[in-house]
Amino acid sequence: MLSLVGSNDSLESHSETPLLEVTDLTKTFSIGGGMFYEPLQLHAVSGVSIRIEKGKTLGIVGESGCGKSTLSRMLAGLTPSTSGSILLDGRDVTKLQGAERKRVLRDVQMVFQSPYSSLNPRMRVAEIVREPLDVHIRSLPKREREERALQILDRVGISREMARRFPHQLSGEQQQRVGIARALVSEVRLVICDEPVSALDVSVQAQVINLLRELQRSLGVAYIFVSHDLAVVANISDDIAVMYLGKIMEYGRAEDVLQRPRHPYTQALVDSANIPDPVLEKSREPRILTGEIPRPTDPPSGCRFRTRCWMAQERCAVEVPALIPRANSPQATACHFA
Amino acid sequence: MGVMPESVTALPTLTVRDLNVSFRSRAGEVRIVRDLSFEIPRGEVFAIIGESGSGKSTTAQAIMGLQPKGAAVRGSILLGKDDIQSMSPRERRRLNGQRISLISQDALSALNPCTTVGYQIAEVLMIHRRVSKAEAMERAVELLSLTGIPAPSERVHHYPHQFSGGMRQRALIAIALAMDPELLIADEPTTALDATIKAQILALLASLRAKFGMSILLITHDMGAVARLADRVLVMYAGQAMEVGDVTSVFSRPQHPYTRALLDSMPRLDKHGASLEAIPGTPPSPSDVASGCPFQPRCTLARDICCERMPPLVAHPSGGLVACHFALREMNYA
Repeated sequence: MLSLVGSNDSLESHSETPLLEVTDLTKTFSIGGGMFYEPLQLHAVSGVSIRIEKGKTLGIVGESGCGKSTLSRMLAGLTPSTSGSILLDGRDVTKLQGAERKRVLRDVQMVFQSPYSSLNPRMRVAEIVREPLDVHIRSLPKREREERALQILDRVGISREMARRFPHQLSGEQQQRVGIARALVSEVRLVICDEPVSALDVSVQAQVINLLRELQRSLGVAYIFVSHDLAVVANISDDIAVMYLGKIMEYGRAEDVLQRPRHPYTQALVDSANIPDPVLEKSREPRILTGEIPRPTDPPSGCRFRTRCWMAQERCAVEVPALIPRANSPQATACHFA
Repeated sequence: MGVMPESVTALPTLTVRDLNVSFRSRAGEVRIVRDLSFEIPRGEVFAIIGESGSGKSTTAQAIMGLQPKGAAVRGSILLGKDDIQSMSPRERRRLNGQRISLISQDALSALNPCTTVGYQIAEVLMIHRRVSKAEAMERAVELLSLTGIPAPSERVHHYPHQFSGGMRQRALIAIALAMDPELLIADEPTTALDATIKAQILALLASLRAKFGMSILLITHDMGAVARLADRVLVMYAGQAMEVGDVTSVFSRPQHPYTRALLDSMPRLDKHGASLEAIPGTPPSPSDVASGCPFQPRCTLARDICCERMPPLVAHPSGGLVACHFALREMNYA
């Protein structure tokens, strides 16, 4: 399936400016604190660097508390970053302000996990989808904006008749289609999908995943696809970044990361994904991690995964492993022993 | 469980016959579970797979006698040889926790936030076995350690909010195991958990089953978990059984179009990047189920007969039971 010739993976090829280039992005939240005591520092995202080419999909996978949602909110401009840069087409979004920031961030939209709570219950579907145009492209006559909203709704499979309804009159999957239409209506270039299918039933998840893939093919939009479900991320992504406690543990082409995972955490994650094949499932002995995810307010020193790692040695407690390509592997791995 | 005569041990742990659960609403009778029959032999892990609204959790509630007020439950539920449907509520309550116990999806709301985890385990023993508190607490420590909670002698004194999600699920399993039940009902036991914690809980359930030999009724939408843990599976759609059989044959040679479609629509790690065969439409709400076969509006094989009558659940040469007019014909194609 995978040819070794294709080792000029997207991480390495610097031929043209990527759509998005994130360098050393960090977000620290302060919790509590008062006159006499220091606030707790929660390191949600620390030193994350990623890049996305036009029309490609980067999957970000990790368990709760790994910082994947904070990262996606920073990229969408919904949460300010503590430090680091976010280059969109070579322009640093974190340094922009006012009208210019708004204009640049128009290219980035978001699809949320809970389709119902992300849609205004008092607006009709057509109005919800038209709203980004009302905000960003006011020069367009209203009739045209309406027409565009109906067109994109039609593309995601929502008929004109359904467009007159309110969100509560639609099924969860139709609501998510509306959320996708709203993200795509204003000629976006990057859509950040934060767990877009997690709230949906198994039998309709595939519809939404296929819709996202088809829209990408026809519109050339890039996705950041954030999920806890490795199988879903694997299905849609070109590149995959595996996060643990605010840091990227492994990053590379999807095939490389999934077929030959180098980081112990990725290995455990791949092992813990059950495959609906009873013969295979009952015969294999998956590696099961001991313990639980440490609190992000007090992450372990050195490698953040070392408290649950079966390979951990003294060095891991002292030295933070860099996210670099290791010997004989195309992907970058943050492990001393990969 | 004590020593039982041979004839009794041969009985299945649970036998459900023609179970129907319905509610009265303004629109008339809403049937959540329809004519469901299955049995779970001793020591077997039996899974019910279904999407939201399929009636799988309602089935579990009916077995526990915990159905919501206003629900009408008909049919027979036998635990061993005892018909629990005909028991008084008082007798039935005595069974729960003792012979049947439940692990629910939401461990935080299943635990009492105001008392320690240890006491909640001990309580089961104090009520059903009338042992002293000291003795019960000692057993609670053993049970916590059995479910893999580190430092159990300290942990018994902790409250649920001091436990992480995975540990709460373990504590719930400890409560469920306190009386050494014949039947453990696990209702979506891993849905709320992270991937690596889910793997831990599935491994724990597998090891407990090997150690104690109890029967497990696993209720889930997670086909991967079923593949890992279950011996047999019942595929449920809109309150009805579509297919029942051995997990290996159902998953490798699904006979019902719904089972097949469900397996094809699932993203799989061993086949990443492959395009998914989506099932058109959405699962019906219980008040609005199609006539004939409930899956008919979404089925690629549907013909006129499918709209007219529900196919009976009949034995199939593959060894399982299938409710589809075209199941046999499909076999011939393949």
